[in-house]
Amino acid sequence: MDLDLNPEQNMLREASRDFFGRRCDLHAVSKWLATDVGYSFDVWHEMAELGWQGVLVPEEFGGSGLSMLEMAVLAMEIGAAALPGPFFASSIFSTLLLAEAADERWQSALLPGMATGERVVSVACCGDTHHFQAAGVPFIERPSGDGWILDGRALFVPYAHIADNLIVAARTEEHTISLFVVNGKQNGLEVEVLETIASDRLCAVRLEGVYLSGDSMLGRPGEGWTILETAMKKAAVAKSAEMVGGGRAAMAMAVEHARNREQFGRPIGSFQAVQHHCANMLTYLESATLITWKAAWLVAEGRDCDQEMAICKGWVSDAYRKLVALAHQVMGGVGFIEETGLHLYFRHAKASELMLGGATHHREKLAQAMGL
Amino acid sequence: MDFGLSKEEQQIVAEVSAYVELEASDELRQELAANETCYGGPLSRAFIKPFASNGWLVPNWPRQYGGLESSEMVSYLIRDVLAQADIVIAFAGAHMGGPMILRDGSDAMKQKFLPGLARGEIEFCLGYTEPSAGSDLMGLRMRAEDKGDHFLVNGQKVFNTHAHVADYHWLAVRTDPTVPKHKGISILVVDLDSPGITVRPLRTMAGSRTNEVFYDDVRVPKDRLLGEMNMGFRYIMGALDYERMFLYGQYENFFAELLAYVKTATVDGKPASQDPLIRQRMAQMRMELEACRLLYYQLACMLDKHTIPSYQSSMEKLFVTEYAQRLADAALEILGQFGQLTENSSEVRLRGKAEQLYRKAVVETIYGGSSEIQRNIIAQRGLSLPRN
Repeated sequence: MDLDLNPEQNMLREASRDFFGRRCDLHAVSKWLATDVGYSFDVWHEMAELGWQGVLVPEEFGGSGLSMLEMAVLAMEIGAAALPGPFFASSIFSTLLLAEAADERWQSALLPGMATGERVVSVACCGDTHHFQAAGVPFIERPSGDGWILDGRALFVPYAHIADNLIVAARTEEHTISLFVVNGKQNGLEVEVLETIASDRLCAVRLEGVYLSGDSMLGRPGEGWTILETAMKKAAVAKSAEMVGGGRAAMAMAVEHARNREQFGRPIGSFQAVQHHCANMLTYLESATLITWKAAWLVAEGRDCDQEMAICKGWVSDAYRKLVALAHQVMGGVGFIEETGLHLYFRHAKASELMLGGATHHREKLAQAMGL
Repeated sequence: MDFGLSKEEQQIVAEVSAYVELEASDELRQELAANETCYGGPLSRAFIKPFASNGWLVPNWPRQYGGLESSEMVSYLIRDVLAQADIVIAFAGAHMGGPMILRDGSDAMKQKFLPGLARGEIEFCLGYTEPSAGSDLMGLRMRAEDKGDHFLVNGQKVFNTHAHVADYHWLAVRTDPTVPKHKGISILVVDLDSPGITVRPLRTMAGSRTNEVFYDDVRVPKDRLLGEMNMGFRYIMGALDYERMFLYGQYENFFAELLAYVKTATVDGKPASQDPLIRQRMAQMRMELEACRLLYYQLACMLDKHTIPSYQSSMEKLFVTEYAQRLADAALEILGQFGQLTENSSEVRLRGKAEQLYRKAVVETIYGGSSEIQRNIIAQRGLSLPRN
């Protein structure tokens, strides 16, 4: 066993930590969140110049063809910066979906642009009643001529308002599920930005009698859910890495405060009650970090790891939220003030917990994987 | 990064597993539970001697003292294999005192003790805690006076768990009462059958035995001093950094039994496995088990890279022992009315292991440094928060 990063991974960590440290202070993040699009085009394109949107894109499609371990390294720094934007939707979730679908036509059509950051792709897989489950697939498809007509409404689609393409999940009357690629400018496609706790631009997407031509399907008919489910499990590991990074930053803020803030004539960090909160934060952080590395390693190695992937998002979802709650308790009133920035992690913790399902959802997945 | 095992590691795990499969009986496990150690009882001796003769008790030690010069990982793996079979071995001699002798002891002391410890033929009992020195260990009072050719020892120890089966007392004593408390402590290795030592049993709520040990003018030869006089604080703290680890495999073993039970049991007329609350609870226990495992093996990885764990070993002990309590809670709740039945009762489920763990786990967050002490260490060493 070896729990250290290799030299290349360490370089990626240093480079990304340095970049986000320079480019993404929390005041800038707050400003970007308040704009119409909700993120910084400049930072997005600077990241693309560094090749980061292409980390998971195979070399033949213009990416660097790296593994989930490198993505975890990068995602941790993105989380620490609380960086808003379509990175998760496009460079992680959609990229993984395209890999799972193994549909070369769509891979060569979409991935090169996604790798350079020119193209943003998102995923519409949640309906009204069930989220991240087969029963919740949002659209109905019926054959029409050479193609299909799609109807329905998807919710919680990240950054659909700026996406060039959406990968949508739809079911037939026979309840088979397939995936389709929809142009973001498609006639009959309506996007409404929902207002969320983290201002992270989740959207409602409506398709009303939208005709898709015969070449719109991604992967083979009826395989949509298998593809989607596998991609979701892996994407959840990358999301967990992002959450671990956020937890690290929130804890650092609170511990710094505990060292400097004096009450009763001494730093509050010298009080055991505060120390124990801090020790609990570190325990959440390190357990979450180890669990995430292991899941990322298993994914990178291509091993079966249904249990570990569910453990990862399940444990990290709880750990990040609880860690931030402790950080708030340590920082007191100061942490409640927007300018301090801790609220960005509080919001990020809840939003990322919900993305792809939180602890309860993943405990159920884990129970199934354990044979219950 | 690599979470897998090397070929050599897989090989030794297979060998140890085969031995355990063949030699470990339920009677042995019962004897172990009663003595709280795999030593002293006849079945324990029969089990541990052939085991130790392979070098498996102290694989990371030098060959000249009976080890295999293996990595720490191999040592952690072997102990985990045993724990997974519900044979928890934590030898006060081989795993706590012995490594201190290896680092800080004289050649004569190494020759006298290490080979016997490695072969599983002698065992120590830790003699740290006193009635007025628990979490504040450095407040210990047991006095050892320098009488020229020997020390004269007087005082009392408590919670010295293996004193009734061990051969030697690994004893922390005060050798200089005139200096600040952590500067006047030394370590002695005392024959437990020395005149003037009285061992009195204390029965625990877990059904095991621990002891009070009284010293009344006990003469201890000078060559039984570990390293230098008054350096005990440094030796003890060093040992905690290197050796503080808490086995978790016994809980993985119990979790597996509980999972098997849930798959077949009926609760309130319905299959337990279909109850959403039970599914959630079991999955939570599985998640936490993963954290236990990774925190445990992280320590071996660090040691093999010559990084001394400091707060990481505290975190591991903290997490694993608190997990034991949560697991016991979960088990008793899932078992419902059956959870209260003890080992020999009719109608008992899981051979009463849940009820046993529920009682035993109480002390695990207390001994070896309480959870509160571990959190202090994590905050102060891991996050550089001020001591005062």
